[in-house]
Amino acid sequence: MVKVTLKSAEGDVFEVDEELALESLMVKNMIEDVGLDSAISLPNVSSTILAKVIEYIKFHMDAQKDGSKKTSEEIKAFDDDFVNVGIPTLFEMVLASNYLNVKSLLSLTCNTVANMIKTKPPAEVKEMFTSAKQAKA
Amino acid sequence: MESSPTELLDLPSDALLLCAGSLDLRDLSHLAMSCKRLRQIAYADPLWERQCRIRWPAKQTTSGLFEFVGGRDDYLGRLIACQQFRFRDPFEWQLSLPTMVKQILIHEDAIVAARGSEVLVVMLSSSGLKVLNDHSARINCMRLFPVGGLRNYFIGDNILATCSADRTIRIWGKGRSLRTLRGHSDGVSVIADRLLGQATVIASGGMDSTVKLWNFNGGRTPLLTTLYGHESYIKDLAVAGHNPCIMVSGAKDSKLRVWDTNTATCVGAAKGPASLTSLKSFQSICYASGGSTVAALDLRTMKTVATIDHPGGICATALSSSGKLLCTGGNDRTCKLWDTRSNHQALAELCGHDSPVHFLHLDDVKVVTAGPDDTVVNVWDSNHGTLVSSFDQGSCTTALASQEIFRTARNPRTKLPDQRAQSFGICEAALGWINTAHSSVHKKQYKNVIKVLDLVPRTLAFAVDKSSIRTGHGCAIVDNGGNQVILRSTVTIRQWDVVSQLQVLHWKVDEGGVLLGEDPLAIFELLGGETSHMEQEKWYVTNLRLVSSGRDHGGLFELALEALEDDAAVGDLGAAEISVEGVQEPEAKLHRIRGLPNAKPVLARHCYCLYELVGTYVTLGSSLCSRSSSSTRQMCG
Repeated sequence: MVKVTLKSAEGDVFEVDEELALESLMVKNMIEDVGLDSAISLPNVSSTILAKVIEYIKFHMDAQKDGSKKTSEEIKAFDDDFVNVGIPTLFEMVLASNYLNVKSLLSLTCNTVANMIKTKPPAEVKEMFTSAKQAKA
Repeated sequence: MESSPTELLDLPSDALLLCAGSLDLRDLSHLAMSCKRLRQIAYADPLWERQCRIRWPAKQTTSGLFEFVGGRDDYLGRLIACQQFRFRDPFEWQLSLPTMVKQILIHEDAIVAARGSEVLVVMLSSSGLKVLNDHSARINCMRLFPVGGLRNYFIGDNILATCSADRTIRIWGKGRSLRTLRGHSDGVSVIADRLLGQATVIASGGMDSTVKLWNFNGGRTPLLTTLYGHESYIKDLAVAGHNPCIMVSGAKDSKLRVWDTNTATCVGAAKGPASLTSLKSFQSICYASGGSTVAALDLRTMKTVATIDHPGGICATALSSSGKLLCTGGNDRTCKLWDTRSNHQALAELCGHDSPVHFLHLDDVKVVTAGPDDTVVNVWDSNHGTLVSSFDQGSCTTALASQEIFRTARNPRTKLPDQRAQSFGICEAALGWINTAHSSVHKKQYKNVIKVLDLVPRTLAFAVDKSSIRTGHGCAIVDNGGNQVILRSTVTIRQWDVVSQLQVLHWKVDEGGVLLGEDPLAIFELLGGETSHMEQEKWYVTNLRLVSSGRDHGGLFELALEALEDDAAVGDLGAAEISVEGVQEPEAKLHRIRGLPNAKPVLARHCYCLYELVGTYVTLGSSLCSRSSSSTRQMCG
């Protein structure tokens, strides 16, 4: 199995299967352009987020494989658990999946964001999404 | 990486669009109001295309594609047009016929037309045409009656009754003639508009000057009794509203007789207007029209309580199902709307036809008018008396029907989520005023085409039953596409979110004053789900209509209007002066209206359309929204 080396913003190196890396259209294009020899640098993605993204893709690839015993409930439970993170992390995952162009993860995270917006009045929406920054400032 | 945590506004626009893609209308509006960047996102065309598709799924199938000039504008325009009964692109359906149709009925998806001795039945949903030709002579009158306990229905749970010049009356079930009622010695001219007391008893009037009562479900001898007394042929029959056993008959010699059908005796007689043409009854009042007068006869005292004059002669008379409005179509090419409750004053004159108006449909929301020598069919707002739509048919109309019914959704997707929501409802009295299915059918004379215009989108979002809500007298309006219901009466406004079961607005105004946010957009921005609006700090409206009844509204409304758009200019909105200039200071945008001082009545009954703010936001109580959005702007900058 061919391995692909991904380099996060902090410089941490992740070695993943090529098959897995190709799930990201962005990485796929990079591989097509520059080949597999050098590490693929992803300056926009932090190590923690990249690890999460890899975890997500891995789970779903396993789930899709023949002979996988995972039920759709299990997959859903994984997804729910996966996006059950702090708002900043969630947004970073949206950013990362957008940057890496991982369609399924992008729609999952976007849906989560949408669910957070739902039924909330405008003031709360704003508060929810900006409180972290205000606290810092 | 940035040191500060990632927040929503750091996301690229396409990701945000994806997030907003699954939001509903209400959340989208909330998003739009939270800050400027998010508003740009929320106003993106694809999102509104989606909202359009959700709200008007039928449009896709009928017209193929939407014209998306600007997604949101298009959506709002469409919505407002619907709300105001301006019919932008009605669903149109045509059926070509070999000969002319003189009478037409419309019930839900079915159209029944009489053409000579034939009855044509067309189902709109399946476009199937059926011809029923059992009569051997011209059909004079057709009625649909809701009947319980039968096995074979004509349409829905209705049977069709037709009477003909061949001296028979036929009762029709699905696809065939169920019964033939024989007994008149001459042609049968009319069938009473309602069932009499018992469930399956109808009355007919004939050229032989008799009125006959029939029990069409009653064994071998359906003829119950014959009422003698008239000396000329029967022009019209009307069953009294207050007691279904009381019936009025009017003959060609203008004599009216009132019958107690239980005892088959004549309980009153009166002289109606000369050259009597039609009878309409509501409660104990019967309106007899003929010549150029309509006489209101109180059936309990047999006294004429009021007369209405429409100079030049009356061609058609219509009474709304609530009994509040009467409309006369005249030889003088106008229609006149009359208020039956306040001394039968003329409320409005509807001018828009070039020929006498012979065809009328009236309900509490709209008036549909047409004439046999006129190519135009007009739809008027029955509250304002203003022309809302005009359809030029290119040829003359020979019959017109329109329906005022409440249809439940057929599309399972739009059904209510649970049983509790189903039990949300509107009392029966209000139901008659709700008008969600506006279809009018008219027939082109020369091309022999039946044309159906479905004047609202063909999907309705929810079903109601008749249980839980009582309204006073007044008017009820239902938003047929969204999740909210607005009930409006003269003293209370209530709005309900059907899905959440929460009353989102409850606002009492003094007698005589009505504030009305007709647009569902006016409702969904209501914050939270509190039961009382008054406790809430603010609400947002994207389209506000303030309505006042024109009397004593000093201090009734105190509104703080505010435009969030930087360049919003909302000037001179009718009688009261509101101006919102493009000012930097949010406070400066806040204007208050105290009362509506110079409310100019459009009609005597209601003074309408004082303000119409489209696409601006109205805040009640505080200017919090604008302030916070400007602070967001600073933050983003």
